[in-house]
Amino acid sequence: MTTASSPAARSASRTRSFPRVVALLGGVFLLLFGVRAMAAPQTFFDTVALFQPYNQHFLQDIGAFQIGLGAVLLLGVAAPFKGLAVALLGVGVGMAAHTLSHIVGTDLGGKPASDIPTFALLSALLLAAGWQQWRDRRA
Amino acid sequence: MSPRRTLSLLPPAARVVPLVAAVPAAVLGGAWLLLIRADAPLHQVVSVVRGATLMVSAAGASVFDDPATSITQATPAPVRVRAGTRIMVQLGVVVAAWSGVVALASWRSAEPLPVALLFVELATLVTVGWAVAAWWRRGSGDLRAGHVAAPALLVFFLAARELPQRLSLFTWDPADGTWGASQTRWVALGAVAVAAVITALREPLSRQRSRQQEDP
Repeated sequence: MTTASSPAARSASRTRSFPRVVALLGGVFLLLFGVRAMAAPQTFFDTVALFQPYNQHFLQDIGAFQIGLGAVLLLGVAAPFKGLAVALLGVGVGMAAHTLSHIVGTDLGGKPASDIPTFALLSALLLAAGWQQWRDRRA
Repeated sequence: MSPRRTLSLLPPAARVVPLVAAVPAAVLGGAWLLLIRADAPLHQVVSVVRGATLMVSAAGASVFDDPATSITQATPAPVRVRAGTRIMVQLGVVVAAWSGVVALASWRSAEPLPVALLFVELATLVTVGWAVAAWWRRGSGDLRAGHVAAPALLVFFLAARELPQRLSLFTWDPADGTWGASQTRWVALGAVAVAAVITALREPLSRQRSRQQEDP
């Protein structure tokens, strides 16, 4: 039998905490980079993503999806055994940011008249389904 | 049923109808409005309001969801009266949530919003959601038809994106000459949806027959 202070218990605890620490760091990193790409695409292009040609909308899209990936990791840290809820909520956050990218870039191209409502509803459905799954005690 | 008896059904309807879903939808729409620059061009604001309209409508599609139906369907009130009271309660919350978004949008917009025309879109989308929910519930007996109706609205939107330009529902600039024609299409679609809701809320055949026998 191992006690809480035994070497075996400490080793097991470290093994369990390693994925969560990595997820936390990765989540924060992705979230910060995502927000930076969304909020200041020109600066992000000049300092980080030096890939010509500059395209504001696609850079903000990249930011939106990084926010979604970061959200998945951070939600996974908060609830490691709620896989579907974490996936739905994280992707929902990314889709909400993607919708914002299309709203901000209404004059940059695409089909904003239909894209924005469609992405908005998809965000809402993902977040609502994720919230329901999160609250489900059986999940 | 007398109006007084119908009104007496409102409080119990308010207890069972899922009301809160419209609020987060409106909050998300409001957050997007706050993140765009002040004095935004009208077409940008209209697109956000339309997105919020769609989200609020999807929330409103849960109007007939009631896991307790198997207990309460023995009530003597006709189906349309019971459904009507639920719709009245849900409509109040949906319109209030949507009005909040529109008030915020008016504040952020550089030009006056075409509120009446946007309300037509809300009315149509909400009614389409109800129609899908009512028919799904009638056909399948599913007590949570809103779970089908809300994604169905997304499918409807994805299909509507593929319509040719002359039939498009997505005119987004009121200054555009095709705005009026697209609004006419929204009204026509809304009328079809209202008819679909009314038809879906018929009494079950067995109940119609028993009523006819009771009232010769």
